[in-house]
Amino acid sequence: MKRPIFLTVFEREMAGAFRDRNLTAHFILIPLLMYPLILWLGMTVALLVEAGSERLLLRIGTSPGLDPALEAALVSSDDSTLFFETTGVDPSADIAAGRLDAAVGPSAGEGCVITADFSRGRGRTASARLSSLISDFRERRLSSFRDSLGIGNRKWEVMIVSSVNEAGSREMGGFILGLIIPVTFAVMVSIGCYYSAIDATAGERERGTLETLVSTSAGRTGILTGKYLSVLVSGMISGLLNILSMFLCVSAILGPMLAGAGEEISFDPEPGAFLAALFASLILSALLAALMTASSSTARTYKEGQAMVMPTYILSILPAMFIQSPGLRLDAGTAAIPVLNAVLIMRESLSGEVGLLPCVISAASTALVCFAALRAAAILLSKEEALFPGEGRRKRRRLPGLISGRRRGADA
Amino acid sequence: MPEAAVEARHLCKSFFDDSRGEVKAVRDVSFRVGRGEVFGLLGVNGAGKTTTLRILATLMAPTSGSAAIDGHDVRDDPGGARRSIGYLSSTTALYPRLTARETLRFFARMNGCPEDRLAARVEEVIDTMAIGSYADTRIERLSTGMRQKVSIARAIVHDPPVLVFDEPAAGLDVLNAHEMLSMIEKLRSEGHAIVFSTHVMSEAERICSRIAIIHEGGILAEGTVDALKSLAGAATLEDAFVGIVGAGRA
Repeated sequence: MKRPIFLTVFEREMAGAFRDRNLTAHFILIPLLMYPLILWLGMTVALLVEAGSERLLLRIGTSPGLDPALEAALVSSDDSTLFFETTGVDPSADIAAGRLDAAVGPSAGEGCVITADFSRGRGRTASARLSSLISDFRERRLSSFRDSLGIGNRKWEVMIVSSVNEAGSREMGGFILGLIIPVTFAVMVSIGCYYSAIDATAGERERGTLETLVSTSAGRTGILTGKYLSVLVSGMISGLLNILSMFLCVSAILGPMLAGAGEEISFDPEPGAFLAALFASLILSALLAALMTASSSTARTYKEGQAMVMPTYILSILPAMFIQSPGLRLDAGTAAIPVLNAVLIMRESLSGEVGLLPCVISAASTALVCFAALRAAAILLSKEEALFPGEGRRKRRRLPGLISGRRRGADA
Repeated sequence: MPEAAVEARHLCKSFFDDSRGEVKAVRDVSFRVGRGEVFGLLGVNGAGKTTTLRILATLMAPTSGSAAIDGHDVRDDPGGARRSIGYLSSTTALYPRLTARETLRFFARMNGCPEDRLAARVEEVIDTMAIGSYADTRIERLSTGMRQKVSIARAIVHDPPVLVFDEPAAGLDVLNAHEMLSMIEKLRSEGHAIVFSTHVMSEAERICSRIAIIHEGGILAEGTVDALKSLAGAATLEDAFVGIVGAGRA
């Protein structure tokens, strides 16, 4: 019994990919480690910035004419990082020279005005701290005024607006996952396909193994199918590892953080969501693998391959950027648009339910594009010039009639 | 002459080049090669050797003329022709991340070797080529000479009756080139029909049963080494080659 050619090629491509450190890093390590690293980096940077900002010692000027009670409250505040000094009517020169970080003075009405250079971090921080202190002072003064009038809190507020969230903790978790996952999912599937597609086509030609491969008795369709499948699987591995990594990060880090802030959110989607995510991953990988394999099939070098695949890469990211639009839903129309259908299926599976019809339409439209792309790749690969650039070209034939006809006419 | 395993009839190949216009790489090339014979294509760089061999390997289609490999026409039955051929050139490379054994298994499968005979055939070729000591080493870690031996093993793993070797000793040192020629002689003695191209006279003189001198796409003379020497009235093959090519130019 003979093993099918596509399976033999697929097995070799995958063995080669898993033994290549660069490829493994691109379609396994990056999707898996990106979120933990981003979260860790983000939190570390945020903590460092916050700690640095809290320790920042700032010089504040108080202008003549400022409400004496406010001035007294500011100067006697608990904030030991603010140093107050009396300044002139116009503190602009001191702020511009960096002698003051901000100044507070009287405004035309009853209030006060904060002056700072908002293009500087110190100016923004000083302004924010002053605003907070002034707001506290205002609250105390209003409260005292309300008490002196003998008005209760409910009457004083006139109308208190509150809202009730009918969504359960699981629905909220699904909603948050649906906002975050689809965008990066499309990017990761694309990265997974990107390097594998170039390696399977341009890489093969650059290494000189393509001539060896096509000199065997194996059919070109079998060879192309095997290569395509290996790119598809690389994309799927990338996408699924990315979802897994994101899910674990969100459950282990974001969940406890939100719980600490009093938000009860459960990151535990319905079991059907995982199936839908698998389906979305499959159709997106199938599509991008076909487009990238086809677009890099005539590339002579790795660099040329990168240039040829880049438009497909960008194309795959574009629909994901519009995913947050509130009116965008998965229906028969959007299901027919490749890439967009996959990210919408992913989003809706995490935040709700996905209908069967959009899934069928998505699969059909993806299959159609894949078939066309692979057919084009097969035609391109069958050309001699694809195998031996510069040696296989046949003489160009002029378009009959059009150009030559006009020339004849002009000559006549 | 033994039964023809390779037959080229009036092969022509032209292609278009932006700077040179239409280039006739092969002009009216005809020859026959029998089993157990090494047929040499001797010519300078750009003479048309590689294009002729690529046509035989079905990697290029002839502009006109025809060729058959073990009875399979390269144009009408390219699959059959490829099954009957083991092709090796200085530009055919191996997968660096596969081991020698994996390489042989892969190419045996690609050439239609049944699964039940695969392991035995691979081991047989490993023994024949004496590459057992590094059969499980990745290609990227092998020396040039070792790689070339694996390349020959790759070309014969499906046991084709015809072998097409395009300058297989190019880039090899003296010892490795010597070993390579010994292997080709061994394959000839096993009954393979071998088409072999080179521009090195000593290689051609050592292993070729018959030689065709090819220049500017056309065959100028064909025969045994002695016949060519006699034709040119020369003492060595090199002198004969220079004389025949010079006469062809004139």
